[in-house]
Amino acid sequence: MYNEILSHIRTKSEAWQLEDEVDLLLDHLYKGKAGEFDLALKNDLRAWVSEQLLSAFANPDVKKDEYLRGLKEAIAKLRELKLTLAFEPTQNSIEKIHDWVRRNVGENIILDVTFNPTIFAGAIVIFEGKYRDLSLRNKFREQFGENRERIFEILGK
Amino acid sequence: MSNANDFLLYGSILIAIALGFIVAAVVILYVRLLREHNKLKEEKAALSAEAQRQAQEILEKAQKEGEQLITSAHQKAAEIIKNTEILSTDSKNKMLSALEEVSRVNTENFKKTLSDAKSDIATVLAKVSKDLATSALTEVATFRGTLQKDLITTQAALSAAVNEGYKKIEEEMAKYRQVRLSQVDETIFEILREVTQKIIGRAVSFEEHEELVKKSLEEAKRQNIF
Repeated sequence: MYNEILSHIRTKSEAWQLEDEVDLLLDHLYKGKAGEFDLALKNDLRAWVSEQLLSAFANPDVKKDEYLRGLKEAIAKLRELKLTLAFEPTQNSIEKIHDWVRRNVGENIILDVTFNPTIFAGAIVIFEGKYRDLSLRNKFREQFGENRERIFEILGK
Repeated sequence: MSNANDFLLYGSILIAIALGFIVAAVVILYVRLLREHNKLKEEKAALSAEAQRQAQEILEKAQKEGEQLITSAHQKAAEIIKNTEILSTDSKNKMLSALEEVSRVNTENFKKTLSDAKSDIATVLAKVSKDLATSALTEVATFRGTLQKDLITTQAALSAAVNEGYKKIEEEMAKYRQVRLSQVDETIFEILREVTQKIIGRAVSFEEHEELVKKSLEEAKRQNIF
């Protein structure tokens, strides 16, 4: 039911943005005057969101409040993949990563990306409580640990 | 014939009953007699004790009175002898010397008794001293034993405390050494990391970064993170 609209959501911040838009509509639906909801739907939302929702509401069987509350719950259920990267990704980078995730891991997964240049390169990955440091810094640390004595020897010369 | 037998039977029973009464009476009388005997015995003992006490009192009284009489007579005799003029000087002297002799003998007896008493007291005191010394030695030995025991316990406790302290210091030193080594490691690592980062930062392109992220994700998949 919500797969189409949720497929546009790639990051956690996008999910928050969509949630805000849904809240706005729900607010108009419960408290606003007649006609305000439709105005908000057209004027206050991003184009693709508005398009998706209008398409959904075109179906007479769909009740607006039920649909919006359901969408909110679906957003809350999206699974998070936390990534720490050594560079600040562009929108294009995010799309590439998300595509890979959708193809290799599954649907309804959003990215929570943070930037940390000290990890050199690669990524630190956290997903559903599991953690892996796959950064270059970690590899470097491992190498340093293994060759510690030799490094000291070189530094001592 | 039957009458004769009955007469014999009843007669026998009657005699037996009479004998029973007599035996019972004798037993009662005997018990009473025994009680009376015991009572008399107790009274006799009490009387005897009382008589002995009274006799003792009389004797003591008589002794006191006798002593008083002798003393009084002696004083009076001395006074009479001293004051009389009818006796000759010789007789007076003889009597005086006799009195002196009596006095000397009494004094000697007194001295002897005193000496004996002294000796007895000395013996008793010596015995008491010996007992006291033995007791004191025992006390001292016990005290020394307790002291030694306490000393050993204290030494053991002290030794344990010192060992414990030494062990703790060793542990602290090992910890400190480990912390310092880790700090040195971290410092060197940081220097190398900064250098490497500068080199990589310049050397790795954006596309290469993206490629490395992709490789990390693939590695994560291989490690069953997803």
